[in-house]
Amino acid sequence: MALAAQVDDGPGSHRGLAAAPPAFADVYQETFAFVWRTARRLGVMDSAVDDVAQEVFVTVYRRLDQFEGRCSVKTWVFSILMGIVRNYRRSRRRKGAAEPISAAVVDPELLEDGGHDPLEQASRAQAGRMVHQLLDEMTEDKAIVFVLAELEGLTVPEISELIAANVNTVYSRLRAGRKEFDQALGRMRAREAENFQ
Amino acid sequence: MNDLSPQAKALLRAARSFDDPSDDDHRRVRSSVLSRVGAGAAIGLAATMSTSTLAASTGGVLGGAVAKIGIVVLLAGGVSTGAYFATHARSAARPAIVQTLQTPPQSTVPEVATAMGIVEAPAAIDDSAKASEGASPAPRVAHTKGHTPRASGDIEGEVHLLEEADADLRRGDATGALSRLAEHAAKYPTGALRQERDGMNVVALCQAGRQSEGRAAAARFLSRSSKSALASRIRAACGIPRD
Repeated sequence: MALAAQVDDGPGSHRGLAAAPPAFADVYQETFAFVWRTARRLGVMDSAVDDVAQEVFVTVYRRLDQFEGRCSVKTWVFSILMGIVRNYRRSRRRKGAAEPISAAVVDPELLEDGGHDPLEQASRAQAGRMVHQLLDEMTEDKAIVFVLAELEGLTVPEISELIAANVNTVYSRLRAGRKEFDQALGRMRAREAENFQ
Repeated sequence: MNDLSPQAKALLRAARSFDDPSDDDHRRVRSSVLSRVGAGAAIGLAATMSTSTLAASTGGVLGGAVAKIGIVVLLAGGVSTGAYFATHARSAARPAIVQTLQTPPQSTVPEVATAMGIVEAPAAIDDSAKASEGASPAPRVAHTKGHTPRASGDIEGEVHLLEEADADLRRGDATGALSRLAEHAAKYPTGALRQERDGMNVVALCQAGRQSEGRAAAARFLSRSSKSALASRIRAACGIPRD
């Protein structure tokens, strides 16, 4: 089955009668990277992202026969992901023991990739950590839209389908999300400047 | 719409690929998912994996259980079981597969699954079959030389016939498929894969244009085996909407 077509098509693109559900292998292949990246960007710590991704795909596997093609596969997987990410975040808040995120910390393993310039790797890792920290300061609704638009490169109508919100709401959240992100970046830079003084 | 500051844009640009999973992440999570849901999904994943990758991720651990379940799943998905045999013939798990194939399936699958440490094996078998429906057809490979179906306890023989029927269906030769399925019914009236035979028979009837007969058979089949791996394929072939 051409899952890619399902992923790319808009809502209701495969509402045919009794269409066979997509193969789990195809769903995994097409959505794993998206699930992994989005989980990390929405606050799932490095130590938990494996578990969250596993949980998403075990759920996908068990519910695949319930997928009715009323939305794209990507949208369906995203809704499962968000349910699991929200549970994870709730649990993290209850435990009150979030792992520290430091923009200055760079995972040494990232520097060992011989295929890339170490400085470039360090810079990428540092930028990645900073973005995580900034996203963590945003409200969830805005962070989701912001991640999908600015990091995943999705269009507003695509995001609108993915999060089941109307286009105006998405525009509004994106606008506010950009403002929050910029403000949070400004605060971060101000803190760094103070530390240097 | 207000835009991001140049600094924010530069930061996002630098960070964009930071969260990409590595190949190791992809493989590690896949293996973990497989071990949690049971062996059936391994077959579904095999459709998009190379032989060596499959052997590395499932061979030895899941091989035996994959064997029996795989036959059903592949047929349900319209995938040649030849691909399955080709995959496993090259892996070290072959002896375990043969042993599994020659053992009565009703009791064997849960036992093997349990022995292999696969949790929730019985449920996983049903679900895995559904999960694999719609898998892309795999290239056919030659069968064992001189293979002749045997009369009893012969799952390979059953598979051989069902696979040929499946190939007929994929070629659009529903009449040929019905003939193979009738042969299967005659040789293996109480065969381990009789449910698959019945399901494929429904598909063949509908594909042959025998709609009223096919739909009646579909209704009977779905009423007693609604969770069959073939259910979706039957609904698609006979134009039956989902519940």
